[in-house]
Amino acid sequence: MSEASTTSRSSPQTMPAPDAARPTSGSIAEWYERLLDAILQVALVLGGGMAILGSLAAWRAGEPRQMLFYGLVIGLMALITFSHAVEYFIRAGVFLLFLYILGFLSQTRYFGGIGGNGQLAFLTFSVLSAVLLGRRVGFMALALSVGTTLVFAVLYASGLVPPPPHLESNVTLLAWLTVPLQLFVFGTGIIVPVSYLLESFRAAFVESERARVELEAHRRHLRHMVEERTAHLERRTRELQVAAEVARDAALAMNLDDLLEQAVNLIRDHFGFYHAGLFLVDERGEYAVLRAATGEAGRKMLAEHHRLKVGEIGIVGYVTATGEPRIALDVGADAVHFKNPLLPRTRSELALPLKVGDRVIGALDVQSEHPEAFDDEDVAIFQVMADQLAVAIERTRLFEQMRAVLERRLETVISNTPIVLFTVEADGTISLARGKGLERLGWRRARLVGHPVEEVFAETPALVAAFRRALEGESFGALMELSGRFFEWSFTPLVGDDDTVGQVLAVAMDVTELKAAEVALHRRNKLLTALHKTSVEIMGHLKMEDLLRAIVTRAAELVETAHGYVTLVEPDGSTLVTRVGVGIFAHRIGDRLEPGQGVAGRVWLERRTVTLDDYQRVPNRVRGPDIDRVRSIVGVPLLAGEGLGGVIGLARTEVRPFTPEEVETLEQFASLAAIAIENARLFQEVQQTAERLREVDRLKSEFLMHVSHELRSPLSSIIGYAEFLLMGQQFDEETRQDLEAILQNGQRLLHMINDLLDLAKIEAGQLTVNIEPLSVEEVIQEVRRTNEGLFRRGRKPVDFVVIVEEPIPTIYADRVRLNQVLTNLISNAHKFTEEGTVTLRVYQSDHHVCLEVRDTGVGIPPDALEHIFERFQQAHHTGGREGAGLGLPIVKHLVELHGGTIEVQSEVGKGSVFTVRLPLVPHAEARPRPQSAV
Amino acid sequence: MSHREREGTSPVRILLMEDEDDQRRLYARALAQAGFDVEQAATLQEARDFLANHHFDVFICDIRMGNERGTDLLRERGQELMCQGTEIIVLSAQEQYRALCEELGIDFFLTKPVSLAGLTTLIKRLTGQEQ
Repeated sequence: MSEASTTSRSSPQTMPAPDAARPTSGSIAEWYERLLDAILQVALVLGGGMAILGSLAAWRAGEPRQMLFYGLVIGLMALITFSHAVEYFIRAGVFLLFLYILGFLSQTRYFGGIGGNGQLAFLTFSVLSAVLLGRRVGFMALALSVGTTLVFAVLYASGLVPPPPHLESNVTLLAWLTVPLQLFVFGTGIIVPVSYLLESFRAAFVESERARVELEAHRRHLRHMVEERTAHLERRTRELQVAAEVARDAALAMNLDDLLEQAVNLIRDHFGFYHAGLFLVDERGEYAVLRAATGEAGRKMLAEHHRLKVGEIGIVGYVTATGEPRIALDVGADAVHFKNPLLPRTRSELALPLKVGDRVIGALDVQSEHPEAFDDEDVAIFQVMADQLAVAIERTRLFEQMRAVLERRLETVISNTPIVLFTVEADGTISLARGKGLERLGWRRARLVGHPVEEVFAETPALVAAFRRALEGESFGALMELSGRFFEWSFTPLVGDDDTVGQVLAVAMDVTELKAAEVALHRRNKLLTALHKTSVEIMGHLKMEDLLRAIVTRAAELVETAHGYVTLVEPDGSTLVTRVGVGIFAHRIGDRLEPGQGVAGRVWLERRTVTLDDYQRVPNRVRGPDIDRVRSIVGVPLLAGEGLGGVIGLARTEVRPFTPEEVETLEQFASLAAIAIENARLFQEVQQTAERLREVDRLKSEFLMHVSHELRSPLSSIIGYAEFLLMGQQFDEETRQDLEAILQNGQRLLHMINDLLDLAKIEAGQLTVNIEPLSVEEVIQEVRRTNEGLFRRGRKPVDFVVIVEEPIPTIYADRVRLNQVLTNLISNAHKFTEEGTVTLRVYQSDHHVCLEVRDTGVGIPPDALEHIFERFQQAHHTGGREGAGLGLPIVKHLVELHGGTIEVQSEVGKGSVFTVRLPLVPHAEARPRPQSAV
Repeated sequence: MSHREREGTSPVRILLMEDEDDQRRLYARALAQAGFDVEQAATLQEARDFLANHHFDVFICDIRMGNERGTDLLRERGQELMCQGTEIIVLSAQEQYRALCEELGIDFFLTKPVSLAGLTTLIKRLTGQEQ
């Protein structure tokens, strides 16, 4: 800001008044006033004193009128003394008139007359006239006084007027004439010097007053200059501060519009401008667009989208084009005529470029009501501010752009996401509503934002309640159905610093599809579970009719109906026969269908599922009292391998078409059912085969037993007669040997037959043991009895030894079978032993009774040892060793029937040891029988 | 074991019931040779007749007799005979009759073919001729 402008603006206070330059009459007049005051006050005091004295004299002289006169005069004196408001000349005139009257009256007898106080009064009158009203008036007063005394002198002399008493005695005209002369002489003598002195004083006074005034003016000028300098500095400082402040505030602003508006207001207010405006160059660099401006004018211009063409219009146009600051004044060489009707008082204008680097992004325009309000120094300071502002603007603009991009993206995301986003204020009004879900719900944002939830969601009390709950501070989720769609809501109260809920954030996601999928999945799961259970169940059926019934029942359950059937293709492939039916198909069992006939026939022909939404609309349908009730129907093929095995048909008596999921489930079920049917068929075949085989086996066993018996009877006779002959008669040695050969071979044959019989029984599962407690002695005796003949008759040097070790246990066994086991082992041992001993040893070991048969025979080769208990195996096929090889397998079986074990150890050339171990306590499976009476 | 001590020299009387002639003849000869007095019955009816009219010390009973079953006779007379001191010995080729005979109180069940020596020894023990 220029000095000129400052001067002009501050002139009322600092510029001296035009008349103050000259010495004021007021000052001298004041002095005269004060002089008059002083004279009047003295005169009042003196006059008062004189009046008192006069009054006393008058009272003594008996002149009351004089007293009254004195009082009147003193009153008037006091009045003019204190009446400052009254004009100086009047006051002085009245006072002087009193003095004159005093002198005049003194000429009369009442007041002493000539030569008395009158002369003093006239002299005082004349001198004070000169003092108070100037020399001329003084001389006039003197002349008046002289004249008056002259008149009185003549009057006295002529006797027209009686002289005062104290002068009565010696009055002559001449004497009387001396009085005016004296008065004239003394009066002139006093008035002239006094006048001169007063003139000189007046001149000096005026001179000194002038000098004082000049000094004062000079001092004031100096002070003004100092003040102006100080103000300038202060302004610069303030300008810099404001510039910094504007820049700082600008830096704080996050929003460009706020920043610009704040900047213009700060600039105008702090610098006292008439107007401030910010222009930003548009994207194409074509226009400088007004973005912020102060006051009503600014608001109007912004509303009109005020813009200036870059490089063409106004100083803003110039500045934005050149990047140089410019001042516009309405005076001087560059005089501009400001004609903006909105800003009528503008007298000067400054535009500053807003530059980021070399790029001009806009302009700052300030306008003043004062002419020449801007100078280069202002420009420098403002430019600094403008530069900072420019940076802040650019930064904010970039930030806004970025934020706009982000917001746009976020908005895009939110707008295209099937969600609903709400914020609700503490008072229950919706402050934000977004998301694609709004669209789906048919909610318009305009009808939501700014309205209370109670009003907006009046028809959805659950939602209102949820918002209320959240506003009370609870965070929770909820699933709600709105307009037929499912929304998963999440309510989150946003708690402020004061621990109260400031807002509620509610997000809802459209989960309708998800829900539908879930429902479908659930249904599918249910179907699959049912399918699984069902499949497991039907797999358990092996009887065909049971199975088919289970299949149709379960299939009907799967699709929630009560009506169904299963038809199967006849083995010859000619017709479909209904094998089972439930519900309305219960009476259709046995129906026969040709390919293409009915639903099942179509399924057969097409080899795929056939679904009919309403069977009654099919033209060439099968008719019948029950069939006429069929509405929705499905036929599913039972595909077994390559061929079609049959059809599962399911029907409803109402039109409720079978869904694709149901059909799919039924197809899966059918594929399993087909396998189950196939299995059942195979099982039936296997059953029949097994039955046949069992029958054959049974017949074989029966045959075997029968044959054995049939063989035994004749053999008994052979053996018996041979024994009988040998027992009684004496034969020659030849004959005896022949008979013994018959007996021995008969017995061998008998053993073989017995073994065969046992084997047949074992195979038929008919061999049982009768376990009872046996004493060892008893067992041994029987074994001896059975076998001693073998050793006695034998022609080999083999001894039979029995050893029973302490403690002697009780044996739980079948008497006959145990004997058979031991006899078998002993006879084997004997058979394979050429010389030495066969030893039967009985002992207790742990929880077993061990029956050991040891021989000193040929032994068994290791490779044969492991097969020794298998059927039809015999270790030695050397000559003379006969036998069917059935003995040891039977022995093993018998031992195992007792719950015991048998094992063998053998060394070739040294002999074998067979050990039978029987449990010390009876075998659980075998019932001990009462001991036989022997 | 229930057998009586026999006194004097009167021979042990035995009823032998066996349908097969060869077998019956063999047992009869062997028992006679052992000094027993043997009556032979080829059918159940013959046996019933003998048992109705005579006392026997030992009754040797076959089971399978053509279409007849010795067990039927044992059911009829078994308990009575045993009370009268008759020892009953069953001879059978079929092991499966053992259990049935035990139920009928028969203590001695011999499986055919029976050793003749064994049979005579048993009879001697039962009749107290041999300890």
